[in-house]
Amino acid sequence: MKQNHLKQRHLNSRGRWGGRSGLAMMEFAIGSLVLTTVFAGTFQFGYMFYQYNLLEDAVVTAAHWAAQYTYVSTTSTPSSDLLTKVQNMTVYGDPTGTNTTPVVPNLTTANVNFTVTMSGSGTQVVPGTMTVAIGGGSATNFTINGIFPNWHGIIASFTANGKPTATYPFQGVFAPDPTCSASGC
Amino acid sequence: MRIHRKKSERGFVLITMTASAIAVIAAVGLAVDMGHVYIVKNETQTFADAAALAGALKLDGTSTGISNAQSAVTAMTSNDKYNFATTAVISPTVYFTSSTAGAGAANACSGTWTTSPSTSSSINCVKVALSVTVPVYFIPVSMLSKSNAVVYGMVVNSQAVAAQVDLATLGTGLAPYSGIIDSPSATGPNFGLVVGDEYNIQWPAFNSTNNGCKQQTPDNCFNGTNGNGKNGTGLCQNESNDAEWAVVSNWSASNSGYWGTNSGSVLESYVLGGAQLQAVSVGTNLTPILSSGQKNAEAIYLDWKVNNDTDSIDNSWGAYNSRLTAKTANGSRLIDIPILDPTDPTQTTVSGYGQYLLESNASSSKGVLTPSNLYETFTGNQGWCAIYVGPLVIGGFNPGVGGSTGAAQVQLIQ
Repeated sequence: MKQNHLKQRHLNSRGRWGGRSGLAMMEFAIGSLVLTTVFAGTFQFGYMFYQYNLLEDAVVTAAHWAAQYTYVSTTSTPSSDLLTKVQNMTVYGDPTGTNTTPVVPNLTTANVNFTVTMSGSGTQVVPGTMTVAIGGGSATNFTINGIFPNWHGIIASFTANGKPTATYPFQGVFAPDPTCSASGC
Repeated sequence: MRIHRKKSERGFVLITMTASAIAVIAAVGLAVDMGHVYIVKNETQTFADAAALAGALKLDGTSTGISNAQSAVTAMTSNDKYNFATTAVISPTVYFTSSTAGAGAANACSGTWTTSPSTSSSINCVKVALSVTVPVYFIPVSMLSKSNAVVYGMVVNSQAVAAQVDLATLGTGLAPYSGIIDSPSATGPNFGLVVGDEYNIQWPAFNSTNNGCKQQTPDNCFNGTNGNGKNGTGLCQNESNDAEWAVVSNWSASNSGYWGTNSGSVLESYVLGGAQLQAVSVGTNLTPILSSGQKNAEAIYLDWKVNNDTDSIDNSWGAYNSRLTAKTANGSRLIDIPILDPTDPTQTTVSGYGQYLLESNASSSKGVLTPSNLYETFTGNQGWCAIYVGPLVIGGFNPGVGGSTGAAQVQLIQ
């Protein structure tokens, strides 16, 4: 009886397709639209969180590495050698830049903001903390893109403005070179 | 019959819709809420790591070191925040413990953890533990806690342990000067030296044929030129007879304890930057690289270190150390050097390492600071003195706790 009922598909008295198949199609259309949106959004968020986590790991590794590297500048402006190495460490996980695959797609060394805080006052300073961040300061902000493109203003990207960030206390050798200026040695 | 079936189908749809909605929201929660929770975990772990390292760097074997470590952990809360770097960690718990003397990283921090240690002398480990609650928005729909309460927040715990781990070899960072162990049997961490006392880091000229030069009165062996030491001999106030006699009887007259390069063009990187002629290990024989040095050319760099300090005036360790704690001194005047045991004319063994405070003749009058030029005022034949402040920890602009070698570096243990 039930099977017969489901299989029924005939023109009713007003000449339209009767039964429940149209309703099912509508349900499927609406339901799949909702479900697709929800799952796409979920995937989008999940993927962006994953990328944010990768960036967090990258800045932590780079900041910890920078904190142990010999610091030669007498000011809070690091030597160009150290800056380049920290940027490479962040983007490629390798201070020399031999590895050229960024940890997150499209991340470049221009997105890395490396800040050194000195302890002391005026020109009498020694290194205090090393901070690595994505974007912010003089660095180019980085946009974390979702896997799906931006569609009708639905969130598809997140711009990192100084985030993620990691700070480590300096724990290396301070080898000041008083003949160095901000522009180099 | 037919109506009855319709009713049951309607109910079924409601049940499936409810069940699937819960499942869908749970899936969304898994991605969004758990993604957020994992980011917070990552961020708070970064804070714990960095704060534990910052704390461990401050330990120096005193109760002041313990409170400096606590302050250093608190200071990191304004740097490494969580919740997308917006929220500062509040009141992390800081624990302390010790390791077996001379412990390597493998068996470090074997003691019992406590937040307020009763003795501070051997404390070389810091543990930072914290707990934050992350609000969740989708998970409450699908999850109950053990006590059947709805879960509106997930608790994220993070902890990290950092310790000062003994070093037996230093490849960089040592200034090319040296101290001498106080007595032949002296061992680490202090090698018989007294914190706050003044010792030679470079020795004045000596001659074993001088009048009265003998083991009981080794002061007489030194040539009596004016240094910043006792009796105008260029010997520093607290050098022991044992140390003086070891130098006179075992070193050639051209040796002064200096072991860097003599080349003026690169002196700076040796004196200021700790560029070493070779890696120095406990047990290394330094005699082959001991040399007379170029005191006149080296002096400006030592004076630079003094003048780069926000406290370039105090010459007592007690006064300077309290200014270090108050952050009105920045530690630029502290140098790390090996401590030697001259056993015979061919062997000068490295016993360990120590940290010294460079002296100053700077003065301040009516707010105008006259920089120090103390080391530049001495000639090549005069001795140089500095104040022994304790074992060293690499990167700490303060003394360390010290194991058997008198040198350590901070490491994450967990």
